[in-house]
Amino acid sequence: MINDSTPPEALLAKVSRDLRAVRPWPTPWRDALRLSPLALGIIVGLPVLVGLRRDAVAVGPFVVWGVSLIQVALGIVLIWMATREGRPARRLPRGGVRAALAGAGFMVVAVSFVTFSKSPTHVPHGISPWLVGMVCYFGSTVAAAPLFALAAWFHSRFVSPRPALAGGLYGAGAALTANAGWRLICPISTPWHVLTAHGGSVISITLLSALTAHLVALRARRS
Amino acid sequence: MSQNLGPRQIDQGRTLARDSQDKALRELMVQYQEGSLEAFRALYAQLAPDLRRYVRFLMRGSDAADDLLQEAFLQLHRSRAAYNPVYAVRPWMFGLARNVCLMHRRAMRRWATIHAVGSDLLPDVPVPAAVERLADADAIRQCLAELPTDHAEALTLHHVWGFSFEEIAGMLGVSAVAARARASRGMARLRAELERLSSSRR
Repeated sequence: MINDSTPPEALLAKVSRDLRAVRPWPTPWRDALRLSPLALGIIVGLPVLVGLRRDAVAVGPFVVWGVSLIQVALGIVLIWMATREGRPARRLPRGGVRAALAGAGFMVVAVSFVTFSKSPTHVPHGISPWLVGMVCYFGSTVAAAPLFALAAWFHSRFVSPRPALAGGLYGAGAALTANAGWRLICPISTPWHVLTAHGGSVISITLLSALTAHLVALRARRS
Repeated sequence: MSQNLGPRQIDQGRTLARDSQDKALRELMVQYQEGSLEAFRALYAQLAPDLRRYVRFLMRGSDAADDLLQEAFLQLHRSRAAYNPVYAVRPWMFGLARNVCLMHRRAMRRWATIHAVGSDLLPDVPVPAAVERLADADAIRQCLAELPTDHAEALTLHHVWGFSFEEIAGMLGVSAVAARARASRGMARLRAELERLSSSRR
């Protein structure tokens, strides 16, 4: 017979074994905003390290810096959503989450066309478009890695009933932020290149992140 | 005296009682985060009875309910740092228990079995006050089991455990409007089921 109000001995033993004091984590907004210095570091650091795109003046300050900042803000919002998804009783409506993910995809596509309309630049003759594409694909993926790792570490503290969705949101947030930085250094604006190399990186990170979160949750359940 | 109170005053009274209970629970959570085992015991004593019924409701009376309740408290322990004192404790803990049940159901791939249990395994869910005058408790439980799961869950979370629609929305991952609509549809369907049942008995 189970006593309704007394914890079982086995549970008490497990709790007693690790009863060190812990500091409460911040709310989801604060959690997400803690990543913003790193996110801003990516969009400032990449142009400082590699150099701002050559056609920055032709594209204009709003489409160069303004749009990248908007992308970073959307990336932080996606990470905030993921953080909420991982907390019990703080989940967001499914429709809102889907709309944000769709908005991120739309943003990448729209930005590529707007940039191309301002300054149509192509891969120079004599250089393989595939090689340039691979450099941008792997470069922007690596640029997303620190933010993704930090966001994933945040998430590892929570139990999410939809780990793949939470992982996908973290991945999309990190990838969108890295994409915002990469577009500041990549001098090629042709949509073919931007959508396949830059957009492909965003999609890959999002899917990989969702898959990883799913597998991690599966493993945690089995252990 | 309470017979003279209207539904709105009863609701206000419930809200006040819930607020003062939640304040005490938040203090206990903070003490627990500081490392007090006594606070954990007190939290368990206050939350476990309702949580057990909720888990049994979610699992449709499955034998796993008690294990899952312990698992929910273990998850609370593992992720106790994730709790922030700005949150109400009861929705947090109900949400955590729900996550544990969902993951268990997914892992076991037993949806079909769970939903096919007989009425002898109906969960020990308290009867919503709004319909308790319409039929006996067993009949109401039987009709509750006929409702779509999401409607029955929103209905009981609001009418039985007293959560606001905003809190329910956070637990279920829907908007507050959708949570209200689910509870409202659930109540309408429950009334219809009760009427159908009573007319078939006549």
